[in-house]
Amino acid sequence: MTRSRNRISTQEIALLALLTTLALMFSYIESLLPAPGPPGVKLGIANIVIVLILFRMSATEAAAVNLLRVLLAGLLFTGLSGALYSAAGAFLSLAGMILLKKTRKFSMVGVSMAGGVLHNLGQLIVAALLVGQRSVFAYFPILIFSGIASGILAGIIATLVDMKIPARYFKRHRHQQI
Amino acid sequence: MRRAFFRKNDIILLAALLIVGIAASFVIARPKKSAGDNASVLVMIAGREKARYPLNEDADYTIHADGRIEDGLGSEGDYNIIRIENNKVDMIESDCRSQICVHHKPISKQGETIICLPHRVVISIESGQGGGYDTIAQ
Repeated sequence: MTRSRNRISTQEIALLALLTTLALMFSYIESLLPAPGPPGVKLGIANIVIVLILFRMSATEAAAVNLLRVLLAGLLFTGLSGALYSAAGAFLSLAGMILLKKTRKFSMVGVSMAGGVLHNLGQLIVAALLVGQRSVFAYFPILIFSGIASGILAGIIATLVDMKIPARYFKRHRHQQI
Repeated sequence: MRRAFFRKNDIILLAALLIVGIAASFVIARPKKSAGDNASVLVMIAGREKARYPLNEDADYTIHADGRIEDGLGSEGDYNIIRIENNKVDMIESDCRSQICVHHKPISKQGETIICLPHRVVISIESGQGGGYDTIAQ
């Protein structure tokens, strides 16, 4: 019996489901926190999971988990317009993080920091499009700083977690032939 | 196993982002011109101009996210209430979730805005040129 070489293993499915749940839980915790002063300023802890997957697994898996997280969080907590913002933010930040990771010149903290800033930038662009006003960009500086801060925080936590988790948990067990 | 959180390139990236942020802050924080005597309050919903009121005439208006605007205080549907008082406009009430617009300080200078993202309502100040006194309904 021949099977596709790229068939995803049961272990990987289970792991990705677990990581999606974890990311979703972080999104949930964030939705419970009171919104701080300026709009768009967030803790960004769900990015811990995404950065970990990006470094330990691959861009494809990070994108899949992030997409599911945004969809589910939109349906469950943030509502449709909230999902639109986070989708734009997530898309831009993930694209940027994948590119930076590919250069191999940045650590988890650096990649996550760029991701934080790009996430906020994506949301700001959606906001500007929705209200049809450029003046939304008055929030640009504060969102850069908050993106840097939340990105560094998520990056440091991701690095710490990465050091603690043995490599075998992320190891691929591809069923090449059965 | 110990590992540095930051690498050299991370620091460079951090510095670059900080510079962009600081530069943007300076651009945003430029002192704003006073809007002058004939300044008007512009109400926009979803990018479309809906109404224009003189800044020097005290009044309350209720802006509905569906485009209707009524004088005075209303409270139905998705709404924002603005108050023009002493040459300043303030968003005094809204039933939006974030309440960011309500917490915004009153505005009075040219180009300043209060934005209610959930309702896509923007109020801004325009300096007094042209027919700033007319109310444009739709």
